Amino acid sequence: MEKYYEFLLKEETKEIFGKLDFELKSGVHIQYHHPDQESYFLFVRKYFSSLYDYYKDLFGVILDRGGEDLNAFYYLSFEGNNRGAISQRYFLSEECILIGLFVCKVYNIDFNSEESSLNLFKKLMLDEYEEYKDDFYKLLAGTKTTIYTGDDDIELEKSIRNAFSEFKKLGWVYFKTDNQFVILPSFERLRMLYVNEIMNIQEIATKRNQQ
Amino acid sequence: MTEFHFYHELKKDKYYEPLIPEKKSGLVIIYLYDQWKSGKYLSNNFTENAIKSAIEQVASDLGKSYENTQHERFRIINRGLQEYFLFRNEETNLYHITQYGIEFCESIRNKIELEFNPSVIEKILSDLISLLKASIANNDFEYWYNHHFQNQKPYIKRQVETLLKLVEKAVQEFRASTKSDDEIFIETVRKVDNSLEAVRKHSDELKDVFFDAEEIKSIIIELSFDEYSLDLISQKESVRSFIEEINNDLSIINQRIEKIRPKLRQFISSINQRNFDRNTEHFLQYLLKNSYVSKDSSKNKVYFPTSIEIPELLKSEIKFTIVESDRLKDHSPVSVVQPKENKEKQKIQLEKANNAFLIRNRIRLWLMKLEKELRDNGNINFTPYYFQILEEEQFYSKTIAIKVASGLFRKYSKLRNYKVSIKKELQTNEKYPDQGIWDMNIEVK
Repeated sequence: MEKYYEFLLKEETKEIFGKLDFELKSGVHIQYHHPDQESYFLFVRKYFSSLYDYYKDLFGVILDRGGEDLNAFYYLSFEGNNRGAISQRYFLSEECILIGLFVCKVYNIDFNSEESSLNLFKKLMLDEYEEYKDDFYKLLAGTKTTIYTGDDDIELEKSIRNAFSEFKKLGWVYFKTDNQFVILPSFERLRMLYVNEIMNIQEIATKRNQQ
Repeated sequence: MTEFHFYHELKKDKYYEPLIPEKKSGLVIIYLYDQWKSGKYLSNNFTENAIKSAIEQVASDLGKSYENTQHERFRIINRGLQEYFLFRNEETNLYHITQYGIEFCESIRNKIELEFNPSVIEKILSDLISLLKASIANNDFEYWYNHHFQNQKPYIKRQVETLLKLVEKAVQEFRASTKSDDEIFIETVRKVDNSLEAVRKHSDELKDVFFDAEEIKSIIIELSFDEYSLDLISQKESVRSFIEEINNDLSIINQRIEKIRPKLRQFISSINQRNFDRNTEHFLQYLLKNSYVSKDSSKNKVYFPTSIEIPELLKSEIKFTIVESDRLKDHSPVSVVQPKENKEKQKIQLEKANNAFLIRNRIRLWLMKLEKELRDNGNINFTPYYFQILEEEQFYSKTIAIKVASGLFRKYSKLRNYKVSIKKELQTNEKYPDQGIWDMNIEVK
C-alpha cells in the first residue's frame, strides 16, 4: 500500500501546517501553555503519528515529545548524529546554558512563580541565591574580585537579556512585555539535553578531582 | 446423647491448660517437631534425654531462670505435655508426639510460613470434583462433604489467607522503609512493588485454578435428593458459599494490589524527581565552579570543563526568496535631488569647527605647560593658573580654564604615584569677582 500522511488530507491542515512547519523547523517548542500555540499544539497532538512519519521520511529528523498531558511539548530533534536535511548548526552558548540551568533551579525546582520578569530574575540571582552570585559575576561579567561595579551589573544584565532572547526563540519562555515573561513547560528540555550528565554528576565531579 | 458445650468444657482447667500450653511448654513441642522434621531425629521417636535437652534449650532461649531445678522443670513440663502432646511408651521409655501435637505444630507452621502452591490446589480441586461425581453416583453426598470437602477446605482457605498476608507484609515493609534514607527507600519500594506484582500473579493463578470450583458449584446446584434433610440443605449451601467466599477474597486481593501499586510508582517517580532536582543543582554548581572565562576576539567567552559537551539543537534558518512580479515591471524614473548650496549655513559651521579646534589646541597647550611644571617641581598649585588662563586667553577663556582644570585633575587623581589634594576653601581674584575656585594641588608622591 502506498504511504500517505494522514494530516495532509485534512481540511484544518491548510490553516495551520504552513506556519507550524516554520515554527518547528526554526527550533520552536510547541506547547499548550504558549498563548500563540494552542491550535498548533492540538494539531500536533491529533496527528502526531503521521507528522512524525512526515518529518522522519522527508527530512530525516525526529518529531519528539516531552512532558505529560497539557504540559507536553513537541519539537524537532536530530536522531543521534544524523542531521537529516538540516544543514545549519545551532548551539546554545555556555552563558545561555548556565543561565538556563539556573532558570530550571529557580522556577522548576524551587517553584518561584513562573510568571516573572528580567528584573526580578536578576534580583533573585544576586540577592536570594547568594551561593551562585560570585560565580555568575565571574563568568558572565568577567569580574575577578568580589567587589562589583555598575559596569559588572550591566554586563550581567546583558548576558541575561541575551540568554532570554534565545530562550524566547526556542519557545521555552513567553514574553508578555519586554520585561515580563512566563516560563513554559518546555524549559525542561534543557535538563533533558543534559540528563546523562545530571544523573552522573557525582562520577563526573570525582573524575575531575582525580585529574 | 447429651449436648456438647465447647466453650464451657474448654473453660475448665483440666482441658484448657494442657491443650493450649504455656510458651515454655509449647515451644518444647515445636522444638521437638522441628528437630524431627529437619532430620535430626530419624522418626517421631525421642529418648527421655532428648526431651530433657529440648526443655533446657527452650529454658535457656527464653532467658528466664525458672525457680525450679532442672529436675523439677523436667517433671512439671513433661507431665503437662504428656496429657495431650507427648506419648510415652512405657516399655521402651521412648516418647513420640501425638497426632494432636503434630496438628498443633503444623497449623501454626502454616500460619507463619507463607507458602503458596496453586498447583496443589488445582490437584485438590480436580480430586474433589471426581470424588463428588463418584459420591453422587453412590448417593453419598454427605460423606463427600464431611470427609473430603471439609478436610480440604482449610488448606484452600489458608492459601488465600497467605496471599492476603503477603499483601499486608509488603505494605508494612513499605511503611517501615519510609523512615530510611532515599537510596534504601527506593530500593525497598521497588522490592515491594515487585512482591505485589508476584502476589497479583499468584492471585490470578489461583483464580484460574479456582475456575474448576465453579464446576463443583454447578454440580451442587443441580444436585437433588430423594429426601431432603436440614443438614443436606445447609451442606449444599455451605459448599456454595465457600466457593463464592474464596472468589470474593481473590477479587479483594487484586483490588488492593491495584490500588497500592500506582501509589508506589508515584513514590518512585517523585523520589526520582527529587534526585534529579538535587543532581541538577550539583550539575549547575559544578559548571559554575569549573568553567572559565577567556578572551575570544576581544569578547569574554565562557568555556565549560572538557567533559561537558554543548548539545546541538535543531534550528534551520528557512528563508523563502520570492521575486515579486511587480519588481520586473518598468519603473518611472526617479528624479535625483540636487542639494542646494547654503553659504550662510556653511559659514556658521566653519566658524564652529574653527572655534572647537582653537579651544582644543589651547587646552592641550596649557596642559603640557602645567604637566611640565609638575614634573620639574614635583608639585603644582593650580589655583593661580586658573586665573592666569582667564587672563591670557582672549576667546572662550572660561571654557578653556574649566576644561584644563577638569582634564588635569581627572588624569592625576587616577594615577597612583601622584597625590591630588583639594581644600574646600574658595580662592578668588579681584579681577574676576564672579569666579572662585578651591585650593587645588597636585604633588608627586
